[in-house]
Amino acid sequence: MLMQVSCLICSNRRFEESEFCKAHHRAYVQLESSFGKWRLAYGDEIGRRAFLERILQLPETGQKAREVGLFFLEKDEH
Amino acid sequence: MLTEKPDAALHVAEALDPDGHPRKFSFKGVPVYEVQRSSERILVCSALGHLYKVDQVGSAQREQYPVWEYTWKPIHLADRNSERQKKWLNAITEISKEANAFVCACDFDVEGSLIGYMILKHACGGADASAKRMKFSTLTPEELREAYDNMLPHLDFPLVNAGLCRHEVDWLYGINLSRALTESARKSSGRYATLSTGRVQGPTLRFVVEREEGIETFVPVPYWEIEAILHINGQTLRAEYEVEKFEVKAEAERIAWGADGKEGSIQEIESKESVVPPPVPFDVSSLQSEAYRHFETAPRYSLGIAERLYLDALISYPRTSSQKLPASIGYRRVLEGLSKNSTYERPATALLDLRDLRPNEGKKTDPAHPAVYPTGALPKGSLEARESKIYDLIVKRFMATFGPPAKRESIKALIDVNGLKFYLRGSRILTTGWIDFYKPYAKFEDVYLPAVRKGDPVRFTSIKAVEKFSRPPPRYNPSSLLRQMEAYEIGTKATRAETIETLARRGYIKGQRIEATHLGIQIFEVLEKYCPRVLDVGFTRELEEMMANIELGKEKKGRVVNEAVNHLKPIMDELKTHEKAIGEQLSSKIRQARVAGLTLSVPCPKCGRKLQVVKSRKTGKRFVGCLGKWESACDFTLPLPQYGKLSLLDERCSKCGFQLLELVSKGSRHLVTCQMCYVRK
Repeated sequence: MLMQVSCLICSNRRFEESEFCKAHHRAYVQLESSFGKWRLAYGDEIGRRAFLERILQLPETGQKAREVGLFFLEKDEH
Repeated sequence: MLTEKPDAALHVAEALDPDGHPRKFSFKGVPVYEVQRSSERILVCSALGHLYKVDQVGSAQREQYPVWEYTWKPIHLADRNSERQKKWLNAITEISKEANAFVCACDFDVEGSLIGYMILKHACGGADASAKRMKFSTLTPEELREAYDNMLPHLDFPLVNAGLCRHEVDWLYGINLSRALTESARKSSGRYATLSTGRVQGPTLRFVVEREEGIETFVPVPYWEIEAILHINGQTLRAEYEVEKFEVKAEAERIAWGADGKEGSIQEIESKESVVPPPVPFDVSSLQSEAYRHFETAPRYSLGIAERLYLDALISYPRTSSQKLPASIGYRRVLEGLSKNSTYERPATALLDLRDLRPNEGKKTDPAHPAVYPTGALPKGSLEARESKIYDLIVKRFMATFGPPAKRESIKALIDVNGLKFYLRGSRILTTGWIDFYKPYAKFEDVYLPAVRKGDPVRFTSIKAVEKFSRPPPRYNPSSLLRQMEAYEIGTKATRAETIETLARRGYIKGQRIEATHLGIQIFEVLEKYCPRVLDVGFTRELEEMMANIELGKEKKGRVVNEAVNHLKPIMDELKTHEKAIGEQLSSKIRQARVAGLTLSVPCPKCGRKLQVVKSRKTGKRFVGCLGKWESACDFTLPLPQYGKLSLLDERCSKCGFQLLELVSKGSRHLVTCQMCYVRK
């Protein structure tokens, strides 16, 4: 079986051991570390889904981070 | 006598001629000035900037790399379309046959010294060995005469060697790296596209791409600020809580609830006076930066304007890193000159009334030139609008540096509410000092506080924890990118702005709020993967230091060139080995960039599909067509001018909102047009 080598979001080559390309991987890492800060800020009020929905609404969120957020939201729905 | 530019030749000749009216004649189409100064007959002619350049040995074959052998050639033998330079060089060669002594009166810096040296050496029969050197910072008659009377006995060889080294190293890097990229892409796609990078371009692109990545992957994080509003004597004020930001919502809310509805009082009022020193004189970077801040003039253009002002003898040599104004420039003489200009009469006279004139100098120095200053000469005729703005900025900055310090009062009132500490802040300028000389460029806004006394009761009319989010890092603009290059000491004061322009011309960056394009990011990724040393800011800085040491006579040119070649050789080996992979990565992005460069960002007004610049197969003429033609038979088209290089701008028409286009053709002004308005008209 052929191993999939392209990013799960775009067609670019995957970055090292990641499932994403370099840019989306970096956005994913940012997303994960920011979620920790959001949890600290809001306490138990905020879950992962609410966090993703909020960052997609914010104009400050970068395009790659937005794409990773959307990817996880859609993945959750399925 | 050789100057760098024709305008400078006229100034030099006028200054040296006893009557101030040298005889002008044309020699083979090149203007030459004849000056009779006591028993000496001086012929003053000019170069046209560089008339020689580094090129490869033998005929050019652009597909071959790496290239390690190079030579200096007359520009007309290396570049097409340089007939004018050929005419100039031939004329200089002919004139030099009559001369029995030579003087280099080119600008006193690396480029000027190199221009003079190459022409004297190669076009004037080896006159570089015997030529004398005039050293000056302004083109005023007094300084030029003084420079002539006190000429240096020989050329400034450390500057010449630094120039030779910089050009040779930059050529080796530029030609090899750019050819490697271009050829890799051409072999992969079969199409030619100019790709380039270089010793300074690479690290500069890195700054932009890394910032772009920071913005693209940014995830905002919430924080809270306490917003406390109160009314005193009919004035609405906002008090600050002692902690500016809260990372935890519950903590911020606890503070807001703790003060809500409670009465507090003014506990303490603190007033402090501080001195605001005058600004320091302009070096080239601070001039470019200030010009961008006030007029949004791109650094390259502001430098160009400053150079025109220098050639008109209105300001001193602008390519300087000095922030010093030595007394030898004659402060009073300059101010007396400025006082004859009605615009500056009052401030200049006010400064002349001071007993002691002493500028507030900065730390930076330049061995060759002082900071930028006005010569005091009156403009002959009216200046063009942009020239006038830059001139005004330079004159006012110069005067402000002599102004007395300004004084500012800051007031801080401490409010205690239920044990929680809040502050009210105000500030005002007590003595304007130098600010008066630097208007409208110096701005201080007073924040008035109403009269409050210790013990006055205070109750907030509203207090709440306001949710905010962290913001992504700001994009660079041409001025902040230039400052970043300067902070990392890459490039020179004379070339930094040009490097930024080159990146834009290649399509790696775009916009005034600089954005890395897909192509720019791809070039960066290729270089990062296969030759990260090209992007290494550290090595570029080291090389700059070594070249600066050549100027100071502390380093040998040959050693620096060898060092650079040794650094470059393994990089070229890597690029050659991975040529195929690099080509594949680049060619798809070039294709995308080409399509993006032809696709308008506004939709078709008829069907809403994409619009593109297309070429008629029948007539070969270009026009804007709708991509819906093949799907829905949309027949929307717009005509386009047929001459000049066309680019799509990010800006929209202020009247109709359609995307603006820019046309650039050689020898004519840039044309920015809205084709929709053009058709409607």
